[in-house]
Order: sequence, then structure tokens, then C-alpha cells
Amino acid sequence: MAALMLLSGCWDKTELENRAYVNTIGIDSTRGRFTVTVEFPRLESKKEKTGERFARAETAETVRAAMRKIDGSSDKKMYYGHTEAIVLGSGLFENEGMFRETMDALLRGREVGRNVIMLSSKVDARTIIESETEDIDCLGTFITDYYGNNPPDKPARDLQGLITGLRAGDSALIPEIRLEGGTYRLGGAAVIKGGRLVGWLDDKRVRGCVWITGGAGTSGGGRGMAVTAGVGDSGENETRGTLDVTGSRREISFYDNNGWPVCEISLDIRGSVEEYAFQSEVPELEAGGICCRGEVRSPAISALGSAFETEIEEDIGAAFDWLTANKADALGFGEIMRKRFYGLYMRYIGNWEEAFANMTLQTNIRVDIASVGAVK
Amino acid sequence: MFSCNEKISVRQLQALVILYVFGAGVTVLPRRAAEAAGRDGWFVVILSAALAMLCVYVIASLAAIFPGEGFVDYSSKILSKPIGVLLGLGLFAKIIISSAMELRIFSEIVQQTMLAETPRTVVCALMLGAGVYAALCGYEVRGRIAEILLFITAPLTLVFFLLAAADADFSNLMPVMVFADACELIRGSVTVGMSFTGIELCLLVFPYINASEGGQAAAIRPALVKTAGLIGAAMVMATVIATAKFGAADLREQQWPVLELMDAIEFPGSFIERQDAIVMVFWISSVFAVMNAGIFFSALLLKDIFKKEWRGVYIAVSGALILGLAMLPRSEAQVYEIQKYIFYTFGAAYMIIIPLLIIIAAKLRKSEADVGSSHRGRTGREK
Repeated sequence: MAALMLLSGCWDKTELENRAYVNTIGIDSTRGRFTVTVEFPRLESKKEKTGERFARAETAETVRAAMRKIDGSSDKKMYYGHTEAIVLGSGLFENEGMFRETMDALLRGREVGRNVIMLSSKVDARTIIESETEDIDCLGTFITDYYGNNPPDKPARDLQGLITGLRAGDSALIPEIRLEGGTYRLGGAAVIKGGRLVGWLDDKRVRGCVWITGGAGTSGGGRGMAVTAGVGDSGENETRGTLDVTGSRREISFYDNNGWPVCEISLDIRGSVEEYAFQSEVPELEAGGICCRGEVRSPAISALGSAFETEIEEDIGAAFDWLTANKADALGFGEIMRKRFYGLYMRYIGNWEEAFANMTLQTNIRVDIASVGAVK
Repeated sequence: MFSCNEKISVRQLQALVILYVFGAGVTVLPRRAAEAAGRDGWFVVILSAALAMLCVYVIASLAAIFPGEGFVDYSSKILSKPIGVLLGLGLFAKIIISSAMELRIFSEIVQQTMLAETPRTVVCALMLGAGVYAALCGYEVRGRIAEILLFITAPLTLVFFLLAAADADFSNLMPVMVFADACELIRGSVTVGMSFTGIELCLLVFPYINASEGGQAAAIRPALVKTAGLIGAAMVMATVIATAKFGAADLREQQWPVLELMDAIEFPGSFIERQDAIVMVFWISSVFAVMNAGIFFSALLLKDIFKKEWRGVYIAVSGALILGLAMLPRSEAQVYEIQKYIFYTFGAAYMIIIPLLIIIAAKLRKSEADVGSSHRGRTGREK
């Protein structure tokens, strides 16, 4: 009892109402200076979501100085230990020095953890954070919940992953957040190389990146990626189906062809199709059963499997072509080659950028439709 | 056992050594390993562990030559009293400075991660006070505390390391041994050997081990070597997981990689936010072990040097010195510089060089005595 009474009152006592728990941080470049915006929930305010935001922003010479200024402008002490997400404004990507300084500040400051989610924005991060939306009170919490409850076709990237990517090949993807019609949308990604923006990937190319990195299996909310394809003539006669991926296995290997590397990606995808539209074409389904591609060898299911394979191949090709055309090894092909094909990597070590630009892709995709037509 | 307050069992000795060496060394070990050999740092840790096992073997062999005698006593007997006292004072200085630096690092980490507003002196004095109390209670109490602490903290720490491993990318360790240069690896293993500093305290423990429980020096030797091996294996595990998780380039820049490692663990549901607290528990227990060992053994050395039974005074002097020295460095970087200097001078000397020299001197003395006695015997017969 004495310990409880005495130890609770020393220098580091924490009163909840005296702290502002920062939920989201936004960092922008403003005419060569850093603008840091922090958003925090008002613990004492209200029970229902209103979309009203509590944010503060300050501009200073460094990220740390801006954070200090925010601290100084509030009657509460800012606490960054529960920060869920950091949004980087597009202005930062135009200035290599400022981008690197930002990463350095986040890396060396002990306030923010390494598992905080990183996002990019085509507009200022401040605009993103301060915008009032219908039903989101805390952006960081929304982002964490979004990634936690959705399939991996819009992959999350944490600070640790971003740092690792930048260290390995000086290139990285940062998923994009945007405002559309009064609410937030996650999708697409900024590609950073050498501390500068190379370009923005659309959703299809981001999907391609997920297939390449082998992260298509079940994740957030117990769901994997989904891919939709059709068989038959396009138009009214086309039968479309969606494959819910339940597992994926990826193998990457490299070999040399006429002085340039070839990347061979083998992808085994397992999933299920639940549409009933194939019922008339598959006798087992007609009888009310569930069937497998391997067992039935139905032409319709085989054709659908091939269509999925083509769709995935297109996604991968789109991402790969974009990255090689822009000489941005944001998925770490060089790092994979260095780790697992060191002898080959040594051939290109002095000229990796050119080698990557001239790298060709060879894919070997196999979709295994594990079940079709399961009825609840 | 309960009736004797100054004798510990071999198992308690092992618990003390594990807490003292592993807990104190592991927080920065992956960084040192990465600085020494990049992604092959784990191999350097294996070499360091082998060196530590060799040191422990030499120290235990030395104790086997002089069963039941203290370090100052037998070094005075073999190398003359002034040199023996000088060696005792040197070891006293080493223990005091090392403990002070460990205390300072402890206060730095506590300030940066938990108690930002609490004055450093208060943090240090509280830990030191606990250490002084344990040292006053005697060796057996320390042994029993170590057993209890190890039982509580080691399984938890192991579980958290395994959780961190589940999320690590072990391809970060590849390609293995590509840049391996034998000279670099050996130099690196000596540098990383800093993390095993503390095993030189084994020089002082042998008179306190209960002989009735297999505590003869010759029997303790394999137990101590096994303990050093176990610590080495745990350190290799920590280095491999940290390298796999962060990559060697990132590790080189991290202040306390093992704390970062724990912080980066993702729990389903995120019901625990501060996983690094688990490692902190183990580490604070270790710092407590370091403090009470530092105070206890430095007081013991003063007693052996001055031959007066002023235990309370010696403990108070040692505690005050540790607290005073812990406040002196200007920054954490300076603390690491001092630690490095102490390791390369006193540390390496007391871990292997001085024990080896005393063993050689003892052998030479013994052979001289044998020659002298046989010569005297022959002369007597001729008469």
C-alpha cells in the first residue's frame, strides 16, 4: 500500500487530461521549411462520431523543431507513442534533402514507433488531416482499421519497411491516401527513388506489386486478394467470376541472358470462386455439389482459371514494366538477387540501374481453383 | 543452505552469471556485431562466445589450483604481496567503473523510455540502494534472488524473441560469409567480446561456492563453461533475430536494437502496446544483478586488501564511488567510449591475461619448489 501511495506521485506521473495522444502526423514542405500537422482525439469531448477533427500545425526549420512548436502551442503535452499513421505531403518528394531529413527525424526520434503506417498524398498532408469527413474522427485509427479489415490489394507500409526499402535499393513504395467525395480512399502509391518522387502507381500496378512480393494470400479480415476475369465472348455471353485468393506461393529466380538479367517469377495461387453462374456448365454444380478444378476438369472452370492467370500476369507485367521503365527498383529485385543469386548480382553490381532497366520478366502463373459454387 | 549466508550452490552461481553477463550485454550486442561484421555478425558472436568459454575455463582452472582462496590471497602468494594488492586494486577499479557505466546507461534508457522527468540521480540512487541492500544481505541472498529473477524473466524474454523471429525476414542474413575476412572476424570477435564483460568476476566467486554441493573448483569448471556457452547461444539468437528483423545496415545505427526488436513485435489485436517493457524487466533485473555484484565484490576486494572486517564501510564506499562515477560522463557516447577503454585495458587483462600469467607463475613456482626439494633431498643424502 505504501509503495502504491508513494510511487504514483513522483516526477513522471501522467494525468490523462494533460496529454494529447497524437493519432496522425502529417509532414509537408513549405517553401523549404517543414510543416508538421498533428491530429489527436479529444478524450473528453463526445460519444458519437461527427467527423470533426482536432489538429494543430506548425512550421519550422526541422521536423523536430516543428513538433516542439506544436508542444509549445498547446496546454497539453503531445504524446506520440500511440501514433497510428504518418502522411507525407507531395511537396516533400520534390526535395531530396527534405525527404531524407524527414526520414532521419522519424528514424532517430524515439517518440514514434517503427510500426507506424506510412502514407503519401498528392496534396498537402495538412489538407488531408484537417479535412472534415462524415464519420471519421481520427484518421490514424481509420487507417489502421482499414488495413486490418481489408484484403491486401492495398498493402500497408510501415516506417520499418520504408526504411528497409530505402536502405536496400534507395527506392520504395509509399501507399497513397486521397480525399474523394468527402471521404478517404486508400489506393495507388508513390514511388520514391533517391529521395525524390518518380511517379504514382495506379491500383492495377499496386496489385501487380502485391502479386510480385507474394503478399496476395489471406491477411486483413481473413481475406486474400480478389481477381475478377471473364470467359466466353465479351458482352452478354461473357461469364465473369471472382477468385478469392486463399493462399499464394511465390518463387523468384534470376539468370543472365545476353548480358542482362532475366527475372523469373513463379506464382502458385489458390482460391475459390463462389458465383453460381457456372452452374449450367458444370454438371456437379447442377446436382447441387461443390467441385474442384482438378477433379472435374470442367472446360468452363479451366478456362476461367486461365483467365485469372492472364489477369494476374497483366497486373504483374504492368507493375514490372512501369518500374523498369522508370529505373526504380522499389520492390527490391536487386536485394533479392544479392541475397540469393550473389554470383549473378556481382556481374551487375557496378551498373545495377541499367541492368534493372534492361531486366526482362518471365512469369509462370498457376491458379488452382480449390472450390466453386459453395452455398452457404 | 539457509543456515549459511555466504555460500551458494553451483546452480545459483549459474543464475548469477547469466543475469550479470547476458542481461547487461545483450541490449547493444546486435549493433556491435553488425558494426564488426555486417550481416555475418552472428558468426562474430559465436567466436566471442568461444573466447568467453575459454576465459571461464582459464579462470576456473586458476581457482582449481588454489581451492578456497581469494584472488588477492593467491596472487600475493604467487607474485608477491605488493603485486597481489596492486592486482586487487586494479580489479576493484575495473568493477567500480564498469558498474558505474552500467548504472549510467541504465539511467539513460530509463529516462528516454519511461521516466523522462525523474532526475537521473534519483533513478541511479534507487537502483544502487537496492544493490547495496542485496550486497549487505550476503552472497546467498544474491544467489537466491538471481534464481527467482531468472525463473520469472527468462521464459518471457524467450517467448518474445520467438515472436520477433516469427515476423523477421531471415533472408537478411544472406549471402552468408561472403565478405568474411579472417582478420576482420577475429578483430570483430574481440570487440563483440565486450558484451561478455563481467565474466572476470568469476575470479572472486570460488570461495563462496558450497563444496558439499559439488562446489569443488574442478567440478564448477564445466558448469561455468556450459553457462558461458548458454549465454553465447542466447546472444547468437538475439543477434540473428535482430539482423533478420532490421538488416545489418539499420542495426548499425540503432541505439538499443533489442529494445527496438521488442517494440516492433505485432500482437494480434494489439492488446499490449509496450512489448519492450518485457525486455526492460529482464534488463532491469540484470542491472540489479550487476549493481549488487559490483558493490559486493568491490567491498570484498577492499576487505582482502586491507584485511579489516569493515564490510558495511566497504559497501558504503563502493556504492558512493559507483554513484559518483556514474554522474561524471557528459553523454551516453562518452559512456560507451569509457566502457570500450576499460574493456580493452582492464577487462581483457582480468578476463584472460592475468589468470593465465598467474597459472604460469604458479606452475613455475611449483616446478622450482619441486627442483629445490629434490635438490635438498639429494644434498641431505650425500651428507
